[in-house]
Amino acid sequence: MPFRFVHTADIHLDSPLRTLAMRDPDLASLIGGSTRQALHGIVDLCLEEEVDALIIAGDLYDGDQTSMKTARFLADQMKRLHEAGIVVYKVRGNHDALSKITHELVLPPSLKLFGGRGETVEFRLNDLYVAIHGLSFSKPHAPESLLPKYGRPRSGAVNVGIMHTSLAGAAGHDLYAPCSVADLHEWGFAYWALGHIHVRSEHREAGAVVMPGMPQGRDIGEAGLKTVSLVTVADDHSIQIEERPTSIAQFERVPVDLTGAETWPEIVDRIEREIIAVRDATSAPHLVGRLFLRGQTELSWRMRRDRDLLRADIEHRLGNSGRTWIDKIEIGTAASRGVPTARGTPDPVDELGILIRDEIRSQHGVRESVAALVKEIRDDLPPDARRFCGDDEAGFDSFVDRLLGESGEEIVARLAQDGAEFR
Amino acid sequence: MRLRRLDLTRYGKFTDFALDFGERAVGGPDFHIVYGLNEAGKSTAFSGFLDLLFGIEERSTYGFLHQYAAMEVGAVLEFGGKLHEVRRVKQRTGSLRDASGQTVGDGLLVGALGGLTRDAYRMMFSLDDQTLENGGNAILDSKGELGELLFSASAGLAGLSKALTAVSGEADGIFRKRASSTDIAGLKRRLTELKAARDQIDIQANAYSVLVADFDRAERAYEEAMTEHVEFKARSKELGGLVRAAPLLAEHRRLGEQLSDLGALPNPPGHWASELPALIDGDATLKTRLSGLDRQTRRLRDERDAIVVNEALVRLTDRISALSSGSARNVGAETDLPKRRTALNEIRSRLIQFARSITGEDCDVDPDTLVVDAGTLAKLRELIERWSGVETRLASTGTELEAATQAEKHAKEDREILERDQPTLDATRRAALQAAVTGVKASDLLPRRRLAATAVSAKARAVEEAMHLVPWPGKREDIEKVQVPSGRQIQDWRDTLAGQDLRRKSHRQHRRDLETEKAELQASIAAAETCAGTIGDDEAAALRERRDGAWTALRDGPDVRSAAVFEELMRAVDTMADARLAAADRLAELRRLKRDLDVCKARMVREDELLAEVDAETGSLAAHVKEVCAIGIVDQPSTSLGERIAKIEAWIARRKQAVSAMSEHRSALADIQAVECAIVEATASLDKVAQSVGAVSKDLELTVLLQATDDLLAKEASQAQLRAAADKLVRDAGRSVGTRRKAAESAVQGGQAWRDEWAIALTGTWFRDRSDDRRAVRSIVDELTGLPARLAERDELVRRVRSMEADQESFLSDLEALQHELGEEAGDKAPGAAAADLIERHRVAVDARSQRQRKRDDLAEIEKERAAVVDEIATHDALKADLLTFFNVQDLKEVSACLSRCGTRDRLESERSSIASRIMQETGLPSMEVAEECLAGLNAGEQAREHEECIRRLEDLDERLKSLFAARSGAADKLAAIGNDDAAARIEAERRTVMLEIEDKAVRFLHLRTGAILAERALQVYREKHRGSMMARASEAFRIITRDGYSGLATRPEKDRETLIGLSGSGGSKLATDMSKGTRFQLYLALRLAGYTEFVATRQSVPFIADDIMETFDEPRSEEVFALFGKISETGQVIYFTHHRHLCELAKKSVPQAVIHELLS
Repeated sequence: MPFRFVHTADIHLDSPLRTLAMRDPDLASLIGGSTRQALHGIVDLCLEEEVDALIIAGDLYDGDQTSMKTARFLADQMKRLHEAGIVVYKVRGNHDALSKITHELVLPPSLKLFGGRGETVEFRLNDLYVAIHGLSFSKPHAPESLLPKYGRPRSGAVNVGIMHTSLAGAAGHDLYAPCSVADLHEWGFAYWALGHIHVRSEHREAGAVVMPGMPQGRDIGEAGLKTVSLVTVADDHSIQIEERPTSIAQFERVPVDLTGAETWPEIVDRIEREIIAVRDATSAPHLVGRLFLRGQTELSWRMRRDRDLLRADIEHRLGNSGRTWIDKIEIGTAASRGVPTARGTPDPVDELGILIRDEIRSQHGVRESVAALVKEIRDDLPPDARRFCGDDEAGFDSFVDRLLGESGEEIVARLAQDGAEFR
Repeated sequence: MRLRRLDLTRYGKFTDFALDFGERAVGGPDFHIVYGLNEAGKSTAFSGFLDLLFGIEERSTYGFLHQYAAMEVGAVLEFGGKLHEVRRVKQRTGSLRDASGQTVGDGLLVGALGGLTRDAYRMMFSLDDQTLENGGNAILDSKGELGELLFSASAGLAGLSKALTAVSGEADGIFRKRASSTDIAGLKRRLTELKAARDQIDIQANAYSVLVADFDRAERAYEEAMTEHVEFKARSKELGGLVRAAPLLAEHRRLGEQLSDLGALPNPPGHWASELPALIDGDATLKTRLSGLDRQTRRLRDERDAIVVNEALVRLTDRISALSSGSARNVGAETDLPKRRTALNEIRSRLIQFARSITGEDCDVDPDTLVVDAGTLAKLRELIERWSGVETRLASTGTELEAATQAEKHAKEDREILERDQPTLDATRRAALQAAVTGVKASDLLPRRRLAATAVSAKARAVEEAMHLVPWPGKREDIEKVQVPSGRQIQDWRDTLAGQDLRRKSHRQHRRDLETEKAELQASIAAAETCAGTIGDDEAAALRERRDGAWTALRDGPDVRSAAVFEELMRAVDTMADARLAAADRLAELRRLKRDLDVCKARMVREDELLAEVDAETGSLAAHVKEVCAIGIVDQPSTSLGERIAKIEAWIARRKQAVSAMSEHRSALADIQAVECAIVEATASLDKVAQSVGAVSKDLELTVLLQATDDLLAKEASQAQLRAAADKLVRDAGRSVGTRRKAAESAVQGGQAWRDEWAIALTGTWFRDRSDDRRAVRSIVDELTGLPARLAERDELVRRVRSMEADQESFLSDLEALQHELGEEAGDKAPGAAAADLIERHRVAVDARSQRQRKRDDLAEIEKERAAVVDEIATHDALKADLLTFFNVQDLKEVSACLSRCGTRDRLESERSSIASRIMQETGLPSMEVAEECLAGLNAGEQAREHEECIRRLEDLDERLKSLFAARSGAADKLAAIGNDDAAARIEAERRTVMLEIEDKAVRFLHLRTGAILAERALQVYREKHRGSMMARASEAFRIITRDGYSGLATRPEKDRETLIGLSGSGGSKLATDMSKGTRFQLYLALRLAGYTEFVATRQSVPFIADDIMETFDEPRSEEVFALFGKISETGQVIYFTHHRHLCELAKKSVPQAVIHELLS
């Protein structure tokens, strides 16, 4: 009789989605509880597939999560598994280590939470001998590899290791138990159930090293299909891994080439076509797309000025489908206006644009006053809303650079459009 | 680029329309005015030009006449030193074609336009009144900021300042430090609200642990209180039992004593007490009932034995019953049978009689053979009824046919007579006549002749009247030949004369004024001269002369006298000089007055000359008038030249009337002549046609002729009607004969058919030989109808008689058989009476038998009852013996007393045991003995007091338990209320979204503000770059347009900006924003023209197009603007659209080489 389990990690229960699309109250009500729905779905999957166990490789919640409602919801889901006789094996990740609610929660006895020292749970499933090894983060940071703390593989058993790790080389994650895939393979376990990195990766040699990714992406940085692993260990110890989709809302980037578009409706048409193409390829019930508009079009300036209108028009078009939403529109189109000639540009508006680009931006004092402006507004905002201008000095500088570039183009667009319209 | 020709091939309202601007004049201006009224298509032409250059717009509004697919504009363009003929159709790709229709890439034009887009072209190189007005307003909006003005003028963006203001406004709407109404402030407030909402519903982990601790505490307290409560409850229960058991124990003891008083008694069975009364009663009654039953048995036996039954009769019951009914029928038959037989005989003889009468035979005929079936009878009856119809129809159709044949004959005769008396007119000729008459009538010749005649006489009268008013000595016809001065000439005379009069009057007035002035001056001089002490200039000169003489004398020969004279004169001169010095003012005044007098006189002379001049002019005018009139105008005596001119004018007017009346008279005469000619022609042609018909006399006047032909035609028409009516009669009569004939034939056929049916119907009847006698057949049929019923009646009577006879026979044989069986003799009795006797005897026998049976049943019942009483007595005796033996007494009364004592003892024992069990229950002790022992050692008062205390303590504990329970429930509820819902998570999600929105808004704000900073700086740089060249051009243009009202433009620096000022022609300056509205428009125009000049100076030119921009300009300034356009057009083509004709003239005046094109609407 095979040993079957579902492997997930980084659920970040009740962690909010980060998209402006949520301004739409309809959408907010549909996907506001996506992380919960994802967990519920994973439990459903366990029950439907009648698996033996659910493995959670850390980060059930955000570290600053303190609502007991979240904890209660988790407890209820664990109870469902308990009632169905499904065991849960769980290690704490860096977020869980921070969490206060973990300590207050009473979880069903069938949930095995591994402690800060390496532990192994062994059991027999008919003829199959299974050993599960786990280790929790006891502090939010673990700069050293945790691998040496794990027990060696039990002979004759199917060894499954649960670890929360950034894996070596994962940029920006080096404080989280770094450890290389090769080292893991070498340890000799049949299956390493990892967590921490939000993107899925699978490394198979003699054994399998699997990072399942999170079950529900929360912003465009966590775009793409999100899944859990459904693992079957056969009596001959062979391992079969299936991916099962879990997200309620899927974030996707939607590039749209608008070259040569002549009218507003044409632009909306083309965008709608691209979004629908992406949506048709999306398995999640809801698609939240970020539009990247490119190409040369006469309407470039108007789009920059009427960004809100464009968004409203597209949303109106998509409104009927009820499952496609706009995260943000990034306009990178260029106007096919004047072509500078040897004798200069033919159009004063272009001349103004060129002046801004070539002279004004680098003019003495301009950058300083813009930077001061950015600081002034930044310091007036709540701390959580200050990240738009970078976390450090380099980030701030690059934000100011971008601001100068984009604002110059936008203001020229506006002057040309509005200057003509106020005629 | 230059537009040589614009082809609006299929565009807007135009089809194949071309605006040809021609070749460019060498060295001269390339200035075109396109004139067209409103709606003539000026805007269409401009739009067509743009569509040619940049492609026809996707949703063009110019496709209303020609469909999109058919739309086409074309042009001949000059650029790159060559001519290019191109056409533009409405297509997504390949819309630009050359003259031969081959697709040309858009690159051809893009190069020539230097990358200009449609919008840029429209903004920069076209102008209309709206643009100008907005431009003027833009000057106000920009507060004269030079950079903005130069930029907006060269880009044609009049709304620049508003756009910049809108950017600032939008930014301010998003964020302002310390402002509460901005978007970001609103979002921050929302964050606070969300935090409050979350705090209200959510439980944080640390708060949760506090709740859990609260619950545990409440739980513990409750459990402790509960334990105490249970203990006290038990003690209270124990004490209460002891207290209640004490009085019960006393009662228990008392009952024990009563029992011992009763002594030893046996224990009889419990049911005896209840059975004893019935036992005593049974002793008395049972024996009596037994003897009564025995008596009844004996009586019944005797009664039964006394009843005798005739069994033989009873056995024959069935047959006697049948005899009874047969007897009743026998009695009826005896009375009915003779009556029936008589009736039968009667009916038979009636039938034989009937047969004889109907057949008419003497011998007897069987009536049954006379019956004919009902179908045949009905058929015969129906045929007889139909016969009269058939007969009538035969008769009437015959008569009608004869009458119709007669009528037809008469109609034909009448028609022939009609044709003989009035033969038909030939149709062709009649039509020709009709046409001729209609033609004459339609031409209205006669009314026209009447009208013309009236007109001639009226015009002749008018000529008379007019001539009467014009004095004219010559022949009437000659008056027309007179050459009269034109109205304009006379007006000239009048104007000249009026001018002369005016001048004369003015000169006279001046002359009068001068006269007055002269008198005044003379009076003033006289007054000045008479003023004392004043030495006039002449006198002074004389005195000085004398002094000079004295000096000369002294110098020539000095002596005392001459010296004295000189001295005296010197003194006199000095005195005079002093005096004159003193009166210098008066002297000067006098001198001035004299000079003025001289001037006055000179002016009077001049006025006189001028007056003479005017008079001479008037004289020559009068002579000229006279000369002009001399050629024929009847001059009338007049007092003045003016009056004379008026009279001449009046004469000319009257002459004109007369001449016009004469001309009208002549034309009336010509009219009437023409009508007469036409009448003669019409008469001739009508007459010719009438003659051909031959019914009209020759050479009649047209009126008479018309009447005659009308009559002829009318008569012919009425004849034709008569003939038609007669023809119709003949036709109708013919048709009627046909119809009648058919009817008659059909009647004959009907008669034959009836006869055939008649013969068939009679076949098979016994009276077929009477077929010809329809009346006889009819009566036979009527008679036969009743026959079957009568035969049936006869047969019924026969059947009834036979049945009665059979009944009688059967009755007699039955009676005889019964009597034989009973062994009785028939005797003398009639069978009816014998039968009645037998039946009566049988009834008696049956009654006796049933009575005997009833007695038997009663007897059996009594015997059963008796056996039961015997059993009861045996039982009674046995029980009684048991009781007496048990109590060992003699009778039942004693038994009763014994049983009563036993009952009392049992009740006491029961009560005592019940009290004992209550005592054990209250004390909880196992037996009565233990209880007695225990209770004996207790103090009852002590127990009761302790019990009371216990109760009070329990009450306190109850209250405490309640409050502790509530506290525990509350804590549990709070824990339960946390729930697992996602309300808090959703609030958190919204908070996150608000954060994102704040960031989004902040970035938006920064874009707007940074954009504004960049734009302001860029405009400054733009200003620096273009200030020199554009300012010089605009300044010059503004000077020209304002006709030196402003000498030019200058700038004034202010902090970080530079504003535009106008330099007034009279010195001084004015801010651009302080200028009047019209001047601001002109300033904007100057800036725009400077922008254009700047453009063409450095690049290839494109046509500049203006559309009626000078609505608000006065004529002189308009003229200057045209001149400016003319000048600009020396470097680039300028096209000006207008719907004002005077502007075309004005333009032509300013720029003589300007070409005017008309756009015809």
